[in-house]
Amino acid sequence: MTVSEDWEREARNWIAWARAPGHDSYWEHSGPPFFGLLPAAGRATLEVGCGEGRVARDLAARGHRVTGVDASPTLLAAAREADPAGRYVFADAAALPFDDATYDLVVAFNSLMDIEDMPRAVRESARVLAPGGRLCVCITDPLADAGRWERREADAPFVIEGSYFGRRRFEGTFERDGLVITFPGWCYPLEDYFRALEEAGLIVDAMRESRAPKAAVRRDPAAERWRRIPNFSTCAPFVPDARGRRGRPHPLTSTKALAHPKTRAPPIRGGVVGSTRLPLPSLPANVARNCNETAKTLLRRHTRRPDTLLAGVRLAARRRTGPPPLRADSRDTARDRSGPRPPARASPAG
Amino acid sequence: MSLRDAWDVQAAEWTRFARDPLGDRWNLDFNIPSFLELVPGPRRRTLDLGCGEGRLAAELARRGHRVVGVDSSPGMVAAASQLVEAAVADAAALPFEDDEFDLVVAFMSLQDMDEPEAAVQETARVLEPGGRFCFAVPHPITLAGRFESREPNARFVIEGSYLLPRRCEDVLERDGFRIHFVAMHRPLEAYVLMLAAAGFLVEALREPRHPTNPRWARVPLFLHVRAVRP
Repeated sequence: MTVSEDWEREARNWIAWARAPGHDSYWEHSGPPFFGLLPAAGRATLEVGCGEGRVARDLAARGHRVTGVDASPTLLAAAREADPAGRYVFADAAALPFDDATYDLVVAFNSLMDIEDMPRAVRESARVLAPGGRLCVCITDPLADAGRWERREADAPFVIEGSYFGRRRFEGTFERDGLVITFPGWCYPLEDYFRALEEAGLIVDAMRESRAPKAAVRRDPAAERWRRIPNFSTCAPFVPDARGRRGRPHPLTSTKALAHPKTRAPPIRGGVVGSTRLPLPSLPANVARNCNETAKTLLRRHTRRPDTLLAGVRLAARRRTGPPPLRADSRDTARDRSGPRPPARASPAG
Repeated sequence: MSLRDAWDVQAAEWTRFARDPLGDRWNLDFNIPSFLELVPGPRRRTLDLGCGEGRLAAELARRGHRVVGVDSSPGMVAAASQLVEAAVADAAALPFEDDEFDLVVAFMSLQDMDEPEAAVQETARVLEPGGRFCFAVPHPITLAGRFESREPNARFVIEGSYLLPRRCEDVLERDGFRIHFVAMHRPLEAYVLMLAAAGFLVEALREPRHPTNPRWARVPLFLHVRAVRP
Protein backbone atom coordinates (compact mmCIF):
# COMPACT_ATOMS: atom_id res chain seq x y z
CA MET A 1 0.00 0.00 0.00
CA THR A 2 1.36 3.44 -0.87
CA VAL A 3 1.68 6.17 1.71
CA SER A 4 -1.03 8.13 -0.14
CA GLU A 5 -3.45 5.26 0.20
CA ASP A 6 -2.61 5.08 3.88
CA TRP A 7 -3.37 8.78 4.22
CA GLU A 8 -6.67 8.38 2.47
CA ARG A 9 -7.47 5.65 5.00
CA GLU A 10 -6.43 7.92 7.89
CA ALA A 11 -8.13 11.02 6.45
CA ARG A 12 -11.01 11.21 8.95
CA ASN A 13 -8.64 10.78 11.90
CA TRP A 14 -6.31 13.41 10.51
CA ILE A 15 -9.07 15.96 9.95
CA ALA A 16 -10.16 15.61 13.57
CA TRP A 17 -6.54 15.67 14.80
CA ALA A 18 -5.51 18.69 12.74
CA ARG A 19 -8.58 20.77 13.49
CA ALA A 20 -8.75 20.41 17.27
CA PRO A 21 -7.29 23.78 18.37
CA GLY A 22 -3.99 23.42 20.21
CA HIS A 23 -4.08 19.64 19.82
CA ASP A 24 -0.81 19.00 17.99
CA SER A 25 2.55 20.70 17.61
CA TYR A 26 1.46 22.80 14.63
CA TRP A 27 -0.13 25.42 16.84
CA GLU A 28 2.96 26.57 18.71
CA HIS A 29 5.93 24.30 17.99
CA SER A 30 6.24 23.52 14.28
CA GLY A 31 3.91 26.12 12.78
CA PRO A 32 5.15 29.51 14.07
CA PRO A 33 8.86 29.01 13.24
CA PHE A 34 7.88 27.75 9.81
CA PHE A 35 5.79 30.81 9.08
CA GLY A 36 8.75 32.88 10.28
CA LEU A 37 10.83 31.30 7.52
CA LEU A 38 8.43 32.21 4.71
CA PRO A 39 9.01 35.20 2.47
CA ALA A 40 6.23 37.76 2.18
CA ALA A 41 3.29 36.81 -0.01
CA GLY A 42 4.08 37.22 -3.68
CA ARG A 43 2.35 36.47 -6.94
CA ALA A 44 1.33 32.88 -6.30
CA THR A 45 1.98 30.29 -3.60
CA LEU A 46 1.69 26.53 -4.06
CA GLU A 47 1.26 24.17 -1.14
CA VAL A 48 2.36 20.62 -1.87
CA GLY A 49 0.52 18.08 0.28
CA CYS A 50 -2.05 20.50 1.64
CA GLY A 51 -4.12 17.81 3.38
CA GLU A 52 -7.26 19.17 5.03
CA GLY A 53 -5.93 22.67 4.39
CA ARG A 54 -4.99 24.33 7.66
CA VAL A 55 -1.64 25.58 6.38
CA ALA A 56 -3.23 26.86 3.16
CA ARG A 57 -5.86 28.71 5.19
CA ASP A 58 -3.20 30.26 7.43
CA LEU A 59 -1.18 31.24 4.35
CA ALA A 60 -4.24 32.87 2.83
CA ALA A 61 -4.78 34.76 6.08
CA ARG A 62 -1.29 36.20 5.60
CA GLY A 63 -2.16 37.38 2.12
CA HIS A 64 -0.82 34.48 0.04
CA ARG A 65 -2.72 33.50 -3.10
CA VAL A 66 -2.61 29.78 -2.44
CA THR A 67 -3.16 26.71 -4.56
CA GLY A 68 -3.16 23.49 -2.54
CA VAL A 69 -2.50 20.09 -4.06
CA ASP A 70 -2.99 16.72 -2.43
CA ALA A 71 -3.53 13.13 -3.48
CA SER A 72 -6.15 12.27 -0.87
CA PRO A 73 -9.68 12.96 -2.15
CA THR A 74 -11.16 12.97 1.34
CA LEU A 75 -8.64 15.49 2.65
CA LEU A 76 -9.11 17.69 -0.42
CA ALA A 77 -12.86 17.59 0.01
CA ALA A 78 -12.42 18.68 3.62
CA ALA A 79 -10.07 21.49 2.56
CA ARG A 80 -12.62 22.79 0.05
CA GLU A 81 -15.43 22.52 2.51
CA ALA A 82 -13.54 24.61 5.06
CA ASP A 83 -12.46 27.15 2.47
CA PRO A 84 -14.88 27.25 -0.47
CA ALA A 85 -13.12 30.24 -2.02
CA GLY A 86 -9.73 28.50 -2.00
CA ARG A 87 -8.22 26.53 -4.85
CA TYR A 88 -7.49 22.88 -4.05
CA VAL A 89 -6.35 20.54 -6.79
CA PHE A 90 -6.12 16.76 -6.85
CA ALA A 91 -2.61 16.03 -8.12
CA ASP A 92 0.49 13.95 -7.65
CA ALA A 93 3.26 16.06 -6.10
CA ALA A 94 5.69 14.21 -8.35
CA ALA A 95 3.80 15.33 -11.49
CA LEU A 96 2.41 18.80 -10.82
CA PRO A 97 -0.18 19.98 -13.34
CA PHE A 98 1.36 23.46 -13.67
CA ASP A 99 3.64 25.15 -16.17
CA ASP A 100 7.29 25.91 -15.43
CA ALA A 101 8.16 28.99 -13.37
CA THR A 102 4.59 29.86 -12.42
CA TYR A 103 4.96 30.20 -8.63
CA ASP A 104 7.26 32.33 -6.51
CA LEU A 105 6.78 30.24 -3.38
CA VAL A 106 6.22 26.53 -2.90
CA VAL A 107 5.42 25.31 0.60
CA ALA A 108 5.83 21.70 1.72
CA PHE A 109 4.85 21.55 5.36
CA ASN A 110 5.51 18.10 6.82
CA SER A 111 4.57 16.51 3.54
CA LEU A 112 7.84 15.47 1.84
CA MET A 113 8.03 12.42 4.13
CA ASP A 114 4.65 11.31 2.88
CA ILE A 115 5.16 11.36 -0.86
CA GLU A 116 6.22 8.13 -2.57
CA ASP A 117 8.79 9.80 -4.80
CA MET A 118 10.26 12.57 -2.64
CA PRO A 119 13.13 13.55 -4.98
CA ARG A 120 10.72 13.88 -7.90
CA ALA A 121 8.36 16.01 -5.83
CA VAL A 122 11.29 18.32 -5.00
CA ARG A 123 12.25 18.45 -8.68
CA GLU A 124 8.68 19.30 -9.63
CA SER A 125 8.53 22.01 -6.98
CA ALA A 126 11.73 23.53 -8.38
CA ARG A 127 10.30 23.32 -11.91
CA VAL A 128 7.18 25.31 -11.13
CA LEU A 129 9.20 27.93 -9.18
CA ALA A 130 10.28 31.10 -10.95
CA PRO A 131 13.99 32.07 -10.69
CA GLY A 132 14.61 33.49 -7.25
CA GLY A 133 11.55 31.65 -5.90
CA ARG A 134 11.72 29.63 -2.72
CA LEU A 135 10.71 26.14 -1.65
CA CYS A 136 9.96 26.38 2.07
CA VAL A 137 10.09 22.99 3.69
CA CYS A 138 9.32 21.59 7.12
CA ILE A 139 10.12 17.92 7.75
CA THR A 140 10.11 15.75 10.81
CA ASP A 141 13.76 15.84 11.82
CA PRO A 142 15.77 12.89 10.51
CA LEU A 143 17.38 12.38 13.92
CA ALA A 144 13.97 12.30 15.64
CA ASP A 145 12.79 9.80 13.02
CA ALA A 146 15.80 7.52 13.57
CA GLY A 147 15.27 6.87 17.27
CA ARG A 148 12.89 7.09 20.19
CA TRP A 149 12.72 8.31 23.78
CA GLU A 150 13.37 5.59 26.30
CA ARG A 151 10.97 7.16 28.78
CA ARG A 152 8.56 10.05 29.04
CA GLU A 153 10.60 12.06 31.58
CA ALA A 154 12.38 15.29 30.61
CA ASP A 155 15.84 13.71 31.05
CA ALA A 156 15.03 10.46 29.23
CA PRO A 157 17.77 9.12 26.97
CA PHE A 158 17.14 9.29 23.23
CA VAL A 159 18.07 5.96 21.65
CA ILE A 160 18.85 4.86 18.08
CA GLU A 161 18.46 1.08 17.90
CA GLY A 162 18.15 0.67 14.16
CA SER A 163 19.72 2.83 11.48
CA TYR A 164 19.71 6.53 10.69
CA PHE A 165 20.55 5.71 7.08
CA GLY A 166 18.41 4.52 4.20
CA ARG A 167 14.81 5.07 3.20
CA ARG A 168 12.67 3.49 5.91
CA ARG A 169 8.92 3.20 6.23
CA PHE A 170 7.44 5.04 9.21
CA GLU A 171 4.23 4.12 10.91
CA GLY A 172 3.38 5.37 14.38
CA THR A 173 0.05 5.38 16.18
CA PHE A 174 -0.64 8.18 18.63
CA GLU A 175 -3.50 8.77 21.03
CA ARG A 176 -4.14 12.10 22.73
CA ASP A 177 -7.24 13.56 24.36
CA GLY A 178 -9.50 10.92 22.89
CA LEU A 179 -8.19 11.28 19.32
CA VAL A 180 -6.20 8.53 17.63
CA ILE A 181 -4.13 8.64 14.47
CA THR A 182 -1.63 6.47 12.65
CA PHE A 183 0.95 8.52 10.78
CA PRO A 184 2.19 6.76 7.68
CA GLY A 185 5.26 8.02 5.87
CA TRP A 186 8.91 7.56 5.00
CA CYS A 187 12.07 8.38 6.95
CA TYR A 188 15.23 9.58 5.23
CA PRO A 189 18.64 10.73 6.41
CA LEU A 190 19.15 14.47 5.97
CA GLU A 191 21.51 13.86 3.06
CA ASP A 192 18.66 12.40 1.00
CA TYR A 193 16.72 15.65 1.28
CA PHE A 194 19.80 17.72 0.47
CA ARG A 195 20.64 15.54 -2.51
CA ALA A 196 17.09 16.02 -3.79
CA LEU A 197 17.48 19.81 -3.42
CA GLU A 198 20.89 19.72 -5.08
CA GLU A 199 19.65 17.64 -8.01
CA ALA A 200 16.72 20.03 -8.43
CA GLY A 201 19.15 22.97 -8.61
CA LEU A 202 18.03 24.45 -5.30
CA ILE A 203 20.44 26.22 -2.95
CA VAL A 204 20.08 26.56 0.82
CA ASP A 205 20.75 29.75 2.73
CA ALA A 206 18.49 29.29 5.75
CA MET A 207 17.76 26.33 7.97
CA ARG A 208 16.44 25.80 11.47
CA GLU A 209 16.10 22.88 13.89
CA SER A 210 13.06 23.15 16.12
CA ARG A 211 12.88 23.55 19.89
CA ALA A 212 9.69 23.01 21.83
CA PRO A 213 8.45 26.36 23.18
CA LYS A 214 8.91 27.00 26.89
CA ALA A 215 5.15 27.34 27.30
CA ALA A 216 4.81 23.69 26.26
CA VAL A 217 7.32 22.68 28.95
CA ARG A 218 5.39 24.62 31.59
CA ARG A 219 2.28 22.66 30.71
CA ASP A 220 4.06 19.32 30.40
CA PRO A 221 7.65 18.89 31.68
CA ALA A 222 8.13 15.96 29.26
CA ALA A 223 8.12 18.49 26.41
CA GLU A 224 11.63 19.42 27.61
CA ARG A 225 12.83 16.40 25.63
CA TRP A 226 12.06 18.29 22.41
CA ARG A 227 14.31 21.10 23.56
CA ARG A 228 17.18 18.55 23.51
CA ILE A 229 16.41 16.81 20.21
CA PRO A 230 14.75 18.70 17.33
CA ASN A 231 11.32 17.37 16.39
CA PHE A 232 11.28 19.29 13.09
CA SER A 233 13.69 20.85 10.65
CA THR A 234 12.82 23.75 8.42
CA CYS A 235 14.69 24.94 5.39
CA ALA A 236 14.12 27.58 2.71
CA PRO A 237 16.11 26.75 -0.42
CA PHE A 238 15.73 28.92 -3.50
CA VAL A 239 16.09 28.69 -7.24
CA PRO A 240 19.15 30.73 -8.29
CA ASP A 241 18.71 33.19 -11.13
CA ALA A 242 20.56 32.91 -14.43
CA ARG A 243 23.77 34.20 -12.83
CA GLY A 244 23.54 31.62 -10.07
CA ARG A 245 22.55 34.19 -7.50
CA ARG A 246 19.61 34.86 -5.29
CA GLY A 247 17.54 37.97 -5.10
CA ARG A 248 17.25 39.33 -1.61
CA PRO A 249 19.06 37.35 1.11
CA HIS A 250 16.76 35.46 3.41
CA PRO A 251 16.12 37.55 6.54
CA LEU A 252 17.21 34.65 8.71
CA THR A 253 20.71 34.75 7.24
CA SER A 254 21.57 38.05 8.90
CA THR A 255 24.00 38.12 11.80
CA LYS A 256 21.13 39.40 13.88
CA ALA A 257 19.40 36.08 13.29
CA LEU A 258 22.57 34.36 14.43
CA ALA A 259 22.47 36.18 17.75
CA HIS A 260 18.78 35.48 18.22
CA PRO A 261 18.13 32.10 16.69
CA LYS A 262 14.53 32.03 17.76
CA THR A 263 12.35 33.59 15.14
CA ARG A 264 9.33 35.49 16.18
CA ALA A 265 6.41 34.89 13.92
CA PRO A 266 2.93 36.27 14.23
CA PRO A 267 0.63 33.81 15.94
CA ILE A 268 -1.20 31.41 13.71
CA ARG A 269 -4.91 31.72 13.65
CA GLY A 270 -6.86 28.54 13.78
CA GLY A 271 -9.98 27.56 11.94
CA VAL A 272 -11.31 29.24 8.88
CA VAL A 273 -9.70 32.47 7.85
CA GLY A 274 -11.12 35.93 7.47
CA SER A 275 -12.07 37.75 4.33
CA THR A 276 -8.90 39.70 3.55
CA ARG A 277 -7.70 37.46 0.75
CA LEU A 278 -7.43 38.29 -2.89
CA PRO A 279 -9.69 36.39 -5.25
CA LEU A 280 -7.96 33.41 -6.81
CA PRO A 281 -8.40 32.53 -10.44
CA SER A 282 -10.33 29.39 -11.12
CA LEU A 283 -9.25 26.30 -12.94
CA PRO A 284 -10.30 25.88 -16.55
CA ALA A 285 -13.71 24.23 -16.49
CA ASN A 286 -12.61 21.00 -18.17
CA VAL A 287 -9.75 20.52 -15.73
CA ALA A 288 -11.96 21.28 -12.77
CA ARG A 289 -14.46 18.71 -13.92
CA ASN A 290 -11.73 16.19 -14.42
CA CYS A 291 -10.22 16.74 -11.01
CA ASN A 292 -13.56 16.24 -9.41
CA GLU A 293 -14.26 13.13 -11.42
CA THR A 294 -10.93 11.67 -10.36
CA ALA A 295 -11.61 12.56 -6.77
CA LYS A 296 -15.03 10.94 -6.92
CA THR A 297 -13.64 7.73 -8.37
CA LEU A 298 -11.05 7.46 -5.64
CA LEU A 299 -13.45 8.45 -2.99
CA ARG A 300 -15.84 5.68 -3.92
CA ARG A 301 -13.09 3.23 -3.37
CA HIS A 302 -12.45 4.47 0.15
CA THR A 303 -15.76 5.49 1.63
CA ARG A 304 -19.34 4.42 1.67
CA ARG A 305 -20.83 7.86 1.39
CA PRO A 306 -18.97 9.75 -1.27
CA ASP A 307 -21.84 12.07 -2.03
CA THR A 308 -22.03 13.49 1.46
CA LEU A 309 -18.31 14.09 1.49
CA LEU A 310 -18.32 15.63 -1.91
CA ALA A 311 -21.00 18.10 -0.96
CA GLY A 312 -18.23 20.51 -0.08
CA VAL A 313 -16.29 19.95 -3.30
CA ARG A 314 -16.72 22.97 -5.45
CA LEU A 315 -14.45 24.58 -7.90
CA ALA A 316 -15.74 28.06 -8.44
CA ALA A 317 -15.72 29.24 -12.01
CA ARG A 318 -14.21 32.69 -11.85
CA ARG A 319 -12.09 34.64 -14.25
CA ARG A 320 -8.43 33.90 -14.30
CA THR A 321 -6.42 36.95 -13.28
CA GLY A 322 -2.83 35.83 -12.92
CA PRO A 323 -1.92 32.84 -10.78
CA PRO A 324 -0.93 29.68 -12.50
CA PRO A 325 -3.50 27.79 -14.50
CA LEU A 326 -3.37 24.04 -14.68
CA ARG A 327 -1.62 22.69 -17.69
CA ALA A 328 -3.83 21.85 -20.63
CA ASP A 329 -2.43 18.32 -20.73
CA SER A 330 -3.18 17.71 -17.08
CA ARG A 331 -6.61 16.49 -18.12
CA ASP A 332 -5.21 13.21 -19.34
CA THR A 333 -2.75 13.04 -16.51
CA ALA A 334 -5.54 13.36 -14.02
CA ARG A 335 -7.48 10.60 -15.66
CA ASP A 336 -4.48 8.29 -15.73
CA ARG A 337 -4.00 8.90 -12.06
CA SER A 338 -7.46 7.76 -11.17
CA GLY A 339 -5.80 4.36 -11.46
CA PRO A 340 -4.01 2.60 -8.69
CA ARG A 341 -1.91 5.20 -6.88
CA PRO A 342 -2.21 8.83 -5.93
CA PRO A 343 1.13 9.69 -4.37
CA ALA A 344 0.96 13.09 -2.68
CA ARG A 345 -0.60 13.55 0.69
CA ALA A 346 -1.47 15.83 3.51
CA SER A 347 0.43 17.49 6.29
CA PRO A 348 0.66 15.10 9.24
CA ALA A 349 3.10 15.07 12.10
CA GLY A 350 1.55 16.51 15.14
CA MET B 1 42.49 25.39 28.26
CA SER B 2 41.39 26.80 24.91
CA LEU B 3 40.77 24.35 22.07
CA ARG B 4 43.75 25.91 20.28
CA ASP B 5 46.16 25.17 23.16
CA ALA B 6 44.69 21.71 23.74
CA TRP B 7 45.71 20.75 20.20
CA ASP B 8 49.03 22.59 20.15
CA VAL B 9 50.38 20.67 23.15
CA GLN B 10 49.87 17.35 21.39
CA ALA B 11 51.04 18.38 17.90
CA ALA B 12 53.90 15.87 17.88
CA GLU B 13 51.78 12.95 19.04
CA TRP B 14 49.02 13.91 16.61
CA THR B 15 51.48 14.02 13.70
CA ARG B 16 52.77 10.56 14.60
CA PHE B 17 49.17 9.27 14.81
CA ALA B 18 47.98 10.92 11.60
CA ARG B 19 50.94 9.68 9.55
CA ASP B 20 50.98 6.08 10.77
CA PRO B 21 49.06 3.62 8.60
CA LEU B 22 47.86 1.97 11.83
CA GLY B 23 46.88 5.33 13.28
CA ASP B 24 44.01 7.45 12.07
CA ARG B 25 42.31 4.84 9.89
CA TRP B 26 38.85 6.47 10.00
CA ASN B 27 40.13 9.55 8.25
CA LEU B 28 42.60 7.85 5.93
CA ASP B 29 40.34 5.08 4.68
CA PHE B 30 36.93 6.67 4.85
CA ASN B 31 36.62 10.35 5.68
CA ILE B 32 39.26 11.81 3.34
CA PRO B 33 38.19 9.82 0.24
CA SER B 34 34.51 10.72 0.67
CA PHE B 35 35.33 14.37 1.44
CA LEU B 36 37.40 14.66 -1.73
CA GLU B 37 34.33 13.72 -3.79
CA LEU B 38 32.80 17.02 -2.71
CA VAL B 39 35.88 19.17 -3.37
CA PRO B 40 36.10 20.94 -6.76
CA GLY B 41 39.19 20.47 -8.92
CA PRO B 42 42.19 22.83 -8.86
CA ARG B 43 41.89 26.31 -10.32
CA ARG B 44 43.73 29.35 -9.01
CA ARG B 45 44.72 28.83 -5.39
CA THR B 46 43.50 26.65 -2.51
CA LEU B 47 43.59 27.40 1.22
CA ASP B 48 43.53 24.63 3.84
CA LEU B 49 42.09 26.17 6.99
CA GLY B 50 43.27 24.36 10.12
CA CYS B 51 45.61 22.17 8.11
CA GLY B 52 47.00 20.33 11.15
CA GLU B 53 49.96 18.14 10.23
CA GLY B 54 49.11 18.67 6.55
CA ARG B 55 47.89 15.37 5.13
CA LEU B 56 44.84 16.81 3.34
CA ALA B 57 46.82 19.73 1.92
CA ALA B 58 49.40 17.23 0.67
CA GLU B 59 46.69 15.15 -0.99
CA LEU B 60 45.25 18.26 -2.66
CA ALA B 61 48.74 19.21 -3.87
CA ARG B 62 49.08 15.72 -5.37
CA ARG B 63 45.84 16.44 -7.22
CA GLY B 64 47.22 19.62 -8.74
CA HIS B 65 46.02 22.26 -6.27
CA ARG B 66 48.31 25.19 -5.51
CA VAL B 67 47.67 24.87 -1.83
CA VAL B 68 48.72 26.75 1.27
CA GLY B 69 47.86 25.52 4.76
CA VAL B 70 47.31 27.58 7.87
CA ASP B 71 47.02 26.44 11.46
CA SER B 72 47.18 28.20 14.80
CA SER B 73 49.54 25.58 16.21
CA PRO B 74 53.25 26.13 15.49
CA GLY B 75 53.91 22.44 16.11
CA MET B 76 51.33 21.41 13.51
CA VAL B 77 52.62 23.94 10.98
CA ALA B 78 56.17 22.69 11.46
CA ALA B 79 54.96 19.21 10.53
CA ALA B 80 52.81 20.41 7.62
CA SER B 81 55.71 22.45 6.21
CA GLN B 82 57.52 19.17 5.52
CA LEU B 83 54.79 18.43 2.95
CA VAL B 84 53.35 21.72 1.66
CA GLU B 85 53.55 25.49 2.07
CA ALA B 86 52.10 26.25 5.51
CA ALA B 87 51.95 29.18 7.91
CA VAL B 88 51.01 29.85 11.50
CA ALA B 89 47.89 32.00 11.44
CA ASP B 90 44.72 32.67 13.33
CA ALA B 91 41.75 31.47 11.25
CA ALA B 92 39.79 34.41 12.62
CA ALA B 93 42.35 36.89 11.18
CA LEU B 94 43.81 35.40 8.01
CA PRO B 95 47.01 36.94 6.64
CA PHE B 96 45.67 37.07 3.07
CA GLU B 97 44.18 39.69 0.79
CA ASP B 98 40.52 39.67 -0.22
CA ASP B 99 39.57 37.31 -3.07
CA GLU B 100 42.91 35.49 -3.02
CA PHE B 101 41.48 31.96 -3.25
CA ASP B 102 38.90 30.15 -5.32
CA LEU B 103 38.72 27.24 -2.87
CA VAL B 104 38.96 26.99 0.91
CA VAL B 105 38.80 23.64 2.67
CA ALA B 106 38.45 23.10 6.42
CA PHE B 107 38.89 19.38 7.01
CA MET B 108 37.91 18.36 10.56
CA SER B 109 38.99 21.71 11.94
CA LEU B 110 35.95 23.96 12.53
CA GLN B 111 34.93 21.92 15.57
CA ASP B 112 38.40 22.52 17.06
CA MET B 113 38.33 26.29 16.66
CA ASP B 114 37.52 28.67 19.50
CA GLU B 115 35.88 31.16 17.10
CA PRO B 116 34.58 29.30 14.06
CA GLU B 117 32.10 32.08 13.20
CA ALA B 118 34.95 34.54 12.71
CA ALA B 119 36.90 31.93 10.73
CA VAL B 120 33.99 31.45 8.35
CA GLN B 121 33.67 35.23 7.94
CA GLU B 122 37.36 35.40 7.08
CA THR B 123 36.94 32.51 4.67
CA ALA B 124 34.27 34.47 2.81
CA ARG B 125 36.58 37.47 2.63
CA VAL B 126 39.57 35.65 1.14
CA LEU B 127 37.39 33.74 -1.35
CA GLU B 128 36.71 35.28 -4.73
CA PRO B 129 33.06 35.57 -5.83
CA GLY B 130 31.94 32.15 -7.03
CA GLY B 131 34.58 30.50 -4.82
CA ARG B 132 33.79 27.36 -2.86
CA PHE B 133 34.15 26.53 0.83
CA CYS B 134 34.18 22.82 1.67
CA PHE B 135 34.30 21.57 5.22
CA ALA B 136 34.15 18.31 7.14
CA VAL B 137 33.27 18.03 10.83
CA PRO B 138 32.35 15.16 13.15
CA HIS B 139 28.63 14.65 12.58
CA PRO B 140 26.68 16.58 15.23
CA ILE B 141 24.68 13.44 16.05
CA THR B 142 27.89 11.56 16.82
CA LEU B 143 29.24 14.26 19.12
CA ALA B 144 25.87 14.47 20.91
CA GLY B 145 25.83 10.81 21.99
CA ARG B 146 27.70 7.50 22.07
CA PHE B 147 27.34 3.80 21.38
CA GLU B 148 26.73 1.75 24.51
CA SER B 149 29.13 -0.98 23.43
CA ARG B 150 31.28 -2.17 20.53
CA GLU B 151 28.68 -4.72 19.43
CA PRO B 152 27.44 -4.30 15.83
CA ASN B 153 23.88 -3.67 17.01
CA ALA B 154 24.86 -1.52 20.01
CA ARG B 155 22.36 1.16 20.93
CA PHE B 156 23.38 4.75 20.18
CA VAL B 157 22.30 6.89 23.12
CA ILE B 158 21.99 10.66 23.51
CA GLU B 159 21.78 11.38 27.25
CA GLY B 160 22.18 15.14 27.05
CA SER B 161 21.21 17.66 24.41
CA TYR B 162 21.79 17.61 20.67
CA LEU B 163 20.67 21.21 20.35
CA LEU B 164 22.97 22.79 22.96
CA PRO B 165 26.60 23.46 22.02
CA ARG B 166 28.97 21.69 24.40
CA ARG B 167 32.66 20.95 24.78
CA CYS B 168 33.43 17.27 24.19
CA GLU B 169 36.52 15.41 25.33
CA ASP B 170 37.59 11.87 24.60
CA VAL B 171 40.83 9.99 25.00
CA LEU B 172 41.90 7.46 22.39
CA GLU B 173 44.50 4.94 23.49
CA ARG B 174 45.56 2.11 21.24
CA ASP B 175 48.55 0.68 19.36
CA GLY B 176 50.85 2.89 21.43
CA PHE B 177 49.04 6.12 20.54
CA ARG B 178 47.39 8.46 22.99
CA ILE B 179 45.28 11.30 21.59
CA HIS B 180 43.17 13.59 23.72
CA PHE B 181 40.34 14.69 21.41
CA VAL B 182 38.75 18.00 22.35
CA ALA B 183 36.08 19.68 20.25
CA MET B 184 32.92 21.73 20.39
CA HIS B 185 29.67 19.99 19.66
CA ARG B 186 27.28 22.20 17.69
CA PRO B 187 23.97 21.27 16.12
CA LEU B 188 23.79 21.31 12.32
CA GLU B 189 21.78 24.52 12.44
CA ALA B 190 24.75 26.34 14.00
CA TYR B 191 26.97 25.46 11.05
CA VAL B 192 24.35 26.55 8.52
CA LEU B 193 23.90 29.81 10.45
CA MET B 194 27.64 30.48 10.46
CA LEU B 195 27.73 30.02 6.71
CA ALA B 196 24.62 32.11 6.15
CA ALA B 197 25.92 34.94 8.34
CA ALA B 198 29.04 35.08 6.16
CA GLY B 199 26.92 35.14 3.00
CA PHE B 200 27.57 31.53 1.96
CA LEU B 201 24.96 29.41 0.19
CA VAL B 202 24.90 25.65 0.79
CA GLU B 203 25.16 23.68 -2.45
CA ALA B 204 25.68 20.18 -1.13
CA LEU B 205 25.52 18.29 2.15
CA ARG B 206 26.71 14.72 2.69
CA GLU B 207 26.53 12.24 5.54
CA PRO B 208 28.92 9.54 4.34
CA ARG B 209 27.91 6.07 5.47
CA HIS B 210 30.70 3.74 6.49
CA PRO B 211 30.82 0.86 4.01
CA THR B 212 31.89 -1.91 6.38
CA ASN B 213 31.77 -0.95 10.04
CA PRO B 214 28.40 -2.19 11.29
CA ARG B 215 27.90 0.54 13.90
CA TRP B 216 28.97 3.46 11.71
CA ALA B 217 26.85 2.15 8.88
CA ARG B 218 23.89 2.91 11.19
CA VAL B 219 24.86 6.32 12.63
CA PRO B 220 26.59 9.12 10.66
CA LEU B 221 30.19 9.70 11.75
CA PHE B 222 31.04 12.74 9.60
CA LEU B 223 29.28 15.69 8.00
CA HIS B 224 30.49 17.24 4.73
CA VAL B 225 29.27 20.52 3.30
CA ARG B 226 30.07 22.50 0.18
CA ALA B 227 29.04 26.16 0.07
CA VAL B 228 29.48 28.85 -2.53
CA ARG B 229 30.31 32.51 -2.01
CA PRO B 230 27.90 34.33 -4.33
